[in-house]
Parts: sequence; structure tokens; C-alpha cells
Amino acid sequence: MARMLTQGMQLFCLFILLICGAVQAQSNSKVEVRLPQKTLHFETNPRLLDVLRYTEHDHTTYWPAATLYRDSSDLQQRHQQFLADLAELRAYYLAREQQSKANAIHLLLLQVRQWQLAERIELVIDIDRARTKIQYNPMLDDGIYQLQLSSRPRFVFPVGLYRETAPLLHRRAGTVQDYLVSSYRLALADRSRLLVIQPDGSMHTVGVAYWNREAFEPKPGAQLLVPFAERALPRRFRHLNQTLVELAVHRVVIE
Amino acid sequence: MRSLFCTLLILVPTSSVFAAEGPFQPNEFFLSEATHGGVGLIQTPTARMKPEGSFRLSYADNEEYRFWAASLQLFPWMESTVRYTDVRTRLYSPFPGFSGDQTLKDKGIDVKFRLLQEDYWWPELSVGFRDFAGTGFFESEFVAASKRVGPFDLHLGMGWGYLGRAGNSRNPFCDLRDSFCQRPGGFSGLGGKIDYQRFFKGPASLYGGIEYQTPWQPLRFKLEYEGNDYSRDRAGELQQDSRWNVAAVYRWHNFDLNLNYQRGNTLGFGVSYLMNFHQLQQGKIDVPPRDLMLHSPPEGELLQHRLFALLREAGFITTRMSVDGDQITLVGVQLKYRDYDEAIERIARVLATELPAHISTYRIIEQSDSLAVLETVVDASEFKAAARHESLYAHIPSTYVRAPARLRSEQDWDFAAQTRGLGWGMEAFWLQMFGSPEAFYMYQGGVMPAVAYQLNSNWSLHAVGKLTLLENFDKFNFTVDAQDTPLPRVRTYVREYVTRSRFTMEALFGSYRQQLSPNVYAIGYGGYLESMFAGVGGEVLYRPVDSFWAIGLDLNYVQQRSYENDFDLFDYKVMTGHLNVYLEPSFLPDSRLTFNVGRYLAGDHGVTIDFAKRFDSGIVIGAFAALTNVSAEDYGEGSFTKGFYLNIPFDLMSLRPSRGAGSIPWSPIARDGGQALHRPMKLIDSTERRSRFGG
Repeated sequence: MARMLTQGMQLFCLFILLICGAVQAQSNSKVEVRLPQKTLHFETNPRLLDVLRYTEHDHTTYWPAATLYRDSSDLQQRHQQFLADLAELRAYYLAREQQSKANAIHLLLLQVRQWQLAERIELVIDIDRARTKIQYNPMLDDGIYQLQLSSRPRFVFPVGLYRETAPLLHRRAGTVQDYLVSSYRLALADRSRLLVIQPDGSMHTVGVAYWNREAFEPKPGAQLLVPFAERALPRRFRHLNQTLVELAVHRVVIE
Repeated sequence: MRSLFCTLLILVPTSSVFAAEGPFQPNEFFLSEATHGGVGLIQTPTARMKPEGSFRLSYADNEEYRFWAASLQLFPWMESTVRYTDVRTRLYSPFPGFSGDQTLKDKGIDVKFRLLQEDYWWPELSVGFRDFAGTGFFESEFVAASKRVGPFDLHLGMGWGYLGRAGNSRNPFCDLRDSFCQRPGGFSGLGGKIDYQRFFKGPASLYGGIEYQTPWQPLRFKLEYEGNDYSRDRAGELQQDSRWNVAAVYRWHNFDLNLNYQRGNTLGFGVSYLMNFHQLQQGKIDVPPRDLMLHSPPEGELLQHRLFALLREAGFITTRMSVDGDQITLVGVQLKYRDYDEAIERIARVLATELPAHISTYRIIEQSDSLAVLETVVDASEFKAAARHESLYAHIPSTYVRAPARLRSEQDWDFAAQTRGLGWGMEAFWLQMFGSPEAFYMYQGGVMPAVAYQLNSNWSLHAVGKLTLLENFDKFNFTVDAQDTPLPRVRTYVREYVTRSRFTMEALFGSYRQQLSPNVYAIGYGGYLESMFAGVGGEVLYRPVDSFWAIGLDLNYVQQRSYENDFDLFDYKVMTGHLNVYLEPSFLPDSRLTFNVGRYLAGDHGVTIDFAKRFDSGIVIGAFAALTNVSAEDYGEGSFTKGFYLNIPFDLMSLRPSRGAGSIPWSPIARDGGQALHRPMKLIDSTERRSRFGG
């Protein structure tokens, strides 16, 4: 009896040790990838395909919208700095009693504050390509990643100096003109140009005014960014336009 | 003067194949050419600019004129156009013995600068000069504004000179200064000079028009009101029933076809072909770059012949090699890949899959004309990681650095190829002259076989022949012009030289070259140096790697060659040479400015200014002018030496990669002033890999 108890204790201890070992392995993992349903840990740097294999049973994945994000403290700092700069800009306009501009900045501030940011990795993610060509199957550097996979997105997302930022249903063969209402642009917004950030991260400047209108079709999941008008901002704040664009590229868009 | 024929003909299909790249996006608004070339309405230019690198060849025809034009968007803010005009109602000269029944031809150059980009409130605004350097049939200046509203493009401009001849409005400059009220007549010098003293003077006219983009994508209409009354046209006074002209433009692939009705009484038509020098490319049949995932270094000793064969596949002919501890140094010549990064990547891929793992540094020294030009130092482990995509941020060009190369003494090498030996080659040539009295287009084409014997890495002997295969130079009515020139005839005997024999000896000389320090090179040469001169000379060049500047000096003592046979010399002797300064300023992207200051063949002193721009496809377009102390009167027709050239990489026209380039020169009139010796070797060319401008 005592012997059995001892064996039982040994097994228990072994079990505890195993668990401890597993946890240990997890905390030592070099790469962590969060998938929609689970989180993967790798002790050696995996290639993209090693990650995608966990999703191959899901046949609804819409690869053109697949995105890999990497946690970045630098980006969080830039985010905070940008919010601080916007607050300062708002104060600048309030001090000069330019209410509509101050309101525009306030709305932008509220919007950008909600953004979840992570470094968007410039990479075409497609399981078939990853199987066939090494450039589509790179090794992941150490870090914490989020792989966003979904079925075909149904929406496009207006962002930036635009009053209504609720997602809009994607229209088949719809051009940017079909989504935006010009009167929804806020003060300081560029009336002539729009930046389309496609779900693959590529960016296109599209003319939308009476003098430069272009027919450009955003892909499902695209962001339609209304930037600041050139030279609309006071000189010391002009860099904010570029920062806005850069942060939008790294925005984790969740449908 | 040498070039490769068929270049343009072959380029045409090449560009059309690749024109439709990029995401699908209907072209809502396209720009089309005016009759004279360059973006515009029908007779008048607008403020519009094509995308940078756009090149358009156009032909336009109406009752009195034919226009052939080539228009290039050199920078986003600058359009340049060259044009030949055929005046169908006038003869070239009243002397049939001189020019037969050929009709009158003239050349013209236009330039247009953008002053303001269109925006929500502002129109696009440009200023331009038409036919400003030459005898000026259509000499005009204009300021034009263009504003698009939906499918309409509205244009308003003011023209002076030909464009403003009707004088339908007051010249605003006339209000400022009286001298602007009258336009001086004639032209200065003997043509070919910029007559800026006439700019914006005399009668001025407002002109304008509307372009309408129809809902049917390929079709566009134009309506124009012009400010010229055709009272003093080169073709005579033309009847003008209306100042309104209309046109329809239909776009078919890269072609614009247009039909127009001008002056209320004349039907015209035109066709133009559009390509973009930035975007031209050609698919290749080639071995794929060696894959690091499939190959790994073979077991055992390094097999030299196997390594060299694989390097040859990467375009690299190895002349020397040494392995010292953990680094390998390879010296050789790149024959295949024009693009530097591609060349290095292919070589490094071979090394990464053939060399033992302990070798951590690849030193690749590229030679040109036996001179060590550039050393590329590759960090092997970083390169392997990048080539295997072992990081999300893999970037192969970040794994190597460029440095000045200098060869060590012969004994240090584990392998050194024989430096003594015979080599040969063959180049095609194409001489062309536009606008000669005998025929509009005069040409001579053939091959230039070349033989070289290398005595050692410094000394070599060269011989170049010229064999004419097809030509119409037999139509020449005269070989030396009748102008009474005070200058020694250093170049105007050209017709004598090119018509003497089907086979001529172009050059026969010995040369010596030496790298004096990591950044200084020197060459010397002596013999028959070019088709018209023989003698001795040399050059020194200081050129750091990836520097925005380089400086050199050349000095030559030469004697004129006889055009009666291959070996005799005339009595004329001259000391000629230049201080050469090369600049690649950062504010003019992909451009090179060259200043050659010194003494020319005719003994005149001055400077040649050359501007060259390189497009993403590798095409280089350049213009030059030689300004010397020879007066326009002494120089003769054209007033001074100037011209254009277009260098086209063969790579763009062939299915296999190659490094050669053909050159199409265009010198309207070249006489004896401002003429430099055609040096048989130039250090700036030999060391071209030291700059990214060279590829």
C-alpha cells in the first residue's frame, strides 16, 4: 500500500514536473503567434508556413486580407506622442478661437485613441504561395505576433478627418467615390485626395475632387483615409499628416 | 555618330507588352499631343505635363506641313520636344543640282516648364518656348493655364511670336517697357542660337480651348481658339476662315490617332506612339538565381573549375582568386548583368552554395578595361540568412558594401588567369543625318570589327576597322561645304572620310593603363586614335566610389589623318585637352552634369556642358553644347556645336541579359568649332560601376 502510494506520489511529481517544464518552455519561447482561436508558442524561429499549417483546415480564409502584426513598443510610444501632439494642436486652435478646426482635431483624437496598433509586416500571406516559394515563407524573428485571418471582409473603413467612421459595406466594383460623402469631411481635411490603404498594406493616393477624380476600387477590408490638406496645419504641426498615415498603416483593423 | 540600327523599331513592341502593368484602373483622363508635338490642343500647347519618363513619337499632317516630333518628359516639371518640319509647299532650295525636288525641311526644339501644379483652387500653370533655338519657323513663347472640371479640361494661354501673331490682345509686357512692344526680326549669329532678346516681345494673343473626355474611354474631343492668323507662315500666307479648330483623338493601345479640322478649311490627321522610359522592360530567358534552399556546399575540396563555371553562369569571368583564412577574394569581369545588385546577388548565391561554411567574407572585385574598379564586400552569414529569408526584414543589398578596389601584386593569388592574349569583338554602327539637302534622311550602317592584344595587365594593342554594308551616302552632291571658314577644317571633311571606301581602318593604337591609388586612375595611348586624328595622349581621373563628383584631366597631341588613305597624315597638328568635372547633384535625381573645360581640335578654347538623365529602364538621354571663343560668324551655320544623344541598353531588346548599350546621336549641325577629340578610351566609362548612375 505504502509502495503504491509512493509510486502514486512519484507519478504526481513527474506530472507536476512535466507541467512546470511545459510552462518553462512556453515562457522561454522565442516566437509567440496569436491566431484567431489559439496562441502558438515556438522555441525555435518558425517559418510562416509552420504557423499557417494550424489554419489549413479553415477553408474560408480570404488570403488577400490576411495580415501579420508584430507587437511594437516603439509604435505604442508614437501613438501616445501623436495623441499628445493632437491635444496640443487642439489647444492651439482653441486658443485662437478656431472652433471648427479644434472640433475636427478633437474628433480625430477620439478616433485615433481607439486604434489598436501593431507593426504590420510587409508580406504577402498566402498558404499556397508559402508552400511553393521561399520569399513567401520567411522565418519569423523573435517576438509576439498576431496573425489576422478571416473570411472575405464585408466592409471598408473610413478613417482620418471624416465625420462618420463607422464601417461601410463593401460594394462590388465600387470606387472610392461611392463610399464617401464630401460634406462629412472635417475642417482641415484634404478635399482633393484620399489615401486608400488596401488590406495587403499597399497605399494609393486617389484623386476625389472635381478636378482630379479617379476611379479606384478599394478592396474589401481597405481603409479610406482622409488626410489633412497640404499646408493646412501650422508649420510645426505639419509632420502630423505623415504620422497619421503611418499609424493608419499599422492599425489592426478588426471587423 | 555610331549607333545600333533598329533600336527604336524593336522598342515599340517591347513597351506595348508591358504598358498595362499595375492594378486595374480605368484611365479617366489622358493627355494627347498637339500637332507640333508636346502635350496640347491642336495648334496650341497647354500647361499639362505627362508623367515623368513619358516619351512620345508623333507624326502630324495637313495641307501645308508635315511634322515629326519626339517629346520627352525629362522631369515632372519639364517637357522637351524636338521636331522636324516638312514645308510641303516650298522647295529645300531653288537649285535642283543642290537639293533636287526635296521640299523645305527645318528642325525645332521646344521646352515647357511647369510653374504651378493644379490644386483645388489653382490651375496648372506652365511657361514654354517653342522653336527657340534655330531658324525659328514657329518661334513662340507662351504662358498657359489648365484646369480640369469633371470630364472637361479647360485651357487658357497667352502666346507671343507665331502663337500670338494675330495680336488679339495687348502684350502686358509692353505696358511695362516699350522695348517689348516690337518683336525684333531675323535671327542672331547663323541660326541655332537662343534668341532670348526676342522673348515675350511684339504682338500677343490670348488662346484657349476645351478638351472633353467622352464617356467612351478611348475617345476625346478638342475645341481650340488660336491666336495665330497665319499671315507670315513659312509655307506662305495661309487662308484662315476661322480661328476655331476642332479635333477628335482616339486612343488605341499605345497609339493616339487624331483627326482635325483647322482654320475652317483644312483637314489634318496625326498619329503618336507613347511609351515610358521609366517603365520599359523586357522579359528574359535566363537561368534562375541559384537557390540556397536547394543547394549546399559539396563535400571535399573546393573544385575551382566547377566554381568558375557557376560564376560564369552568373556573368562573372574570374581572372584571379585567393582564399585567405575565412575570406575569399575574386577578381573578374561582369559580362552579363547590367544591374549591379542583380550581378552581386547572383555571384554571392553561387559562392554561398559552393564555398565551405567557414568562409565568412566574399570580396568581389570587378574589373573594366583591366582596371580594378569596384570591390564589393559581402558578409556571407548575413547574405545567406537574407537569401534564405531567415528574417521578415531580409534585404540582400544590406548585406554588402561598396569600396574602392585595388589589386595586390601577382604573387598573392591562388589563381591568376593569363593576362597576355588576343581578344576580338564586333560592334554595329549606324551613321545618320537628318535634313541634308540631297535627301531628308542620309544613313550609313555596317559593322566595326575590333581586335585587341593584351601584352600584360597594363599594356595592350588595339585595331578597329569599319565595314559599310548599307548606305545612301552615294547621293552626296558635295563632300566639303562651300563656306569660307577661318577655322581649320577639323570635322567638316567628314563626308570625305565616310565615303572614301567600304572598308577603312578606324583606329590602331597602343595603350597603357594603371591605377595610381585606390581612387586615381591613369591611361596613356598613342597611334591612330580615331577616324580623323592620330597622335598621343593620356588621362588621369580621380573618382571615389559613390561620390557625387569626379574630376579628371586629359591632354593629347594629335595630327589630322588624311581622308585619302588609311595611314597618311595631313599637316595640321594641335595640342588639345580638357579638365573634366563630373557632377551627380542630389537635387537632380538620376542625372549627371559634365563640364569639359579646355582646348578643342581647332585650337579654340571653351567649355562643353553635357547633361544626362538616366531612367529606370537604363535608357540615358543627354544634351550637350560646346561654348568656345569662336564667334557665331566664324563657326558658320548653327553658330556653335550642340546635340543630343540617346543610349539604349541592348538588354531592353534582347531575351538574354547583356551589358552593352547602343547610342543614337543627334547633332543638328556640327562644324569645326567646339570639337573635341574622340578619345579611344575614357576613364569615366571604364570606372562607371563606381557610380549608381552607371547601373
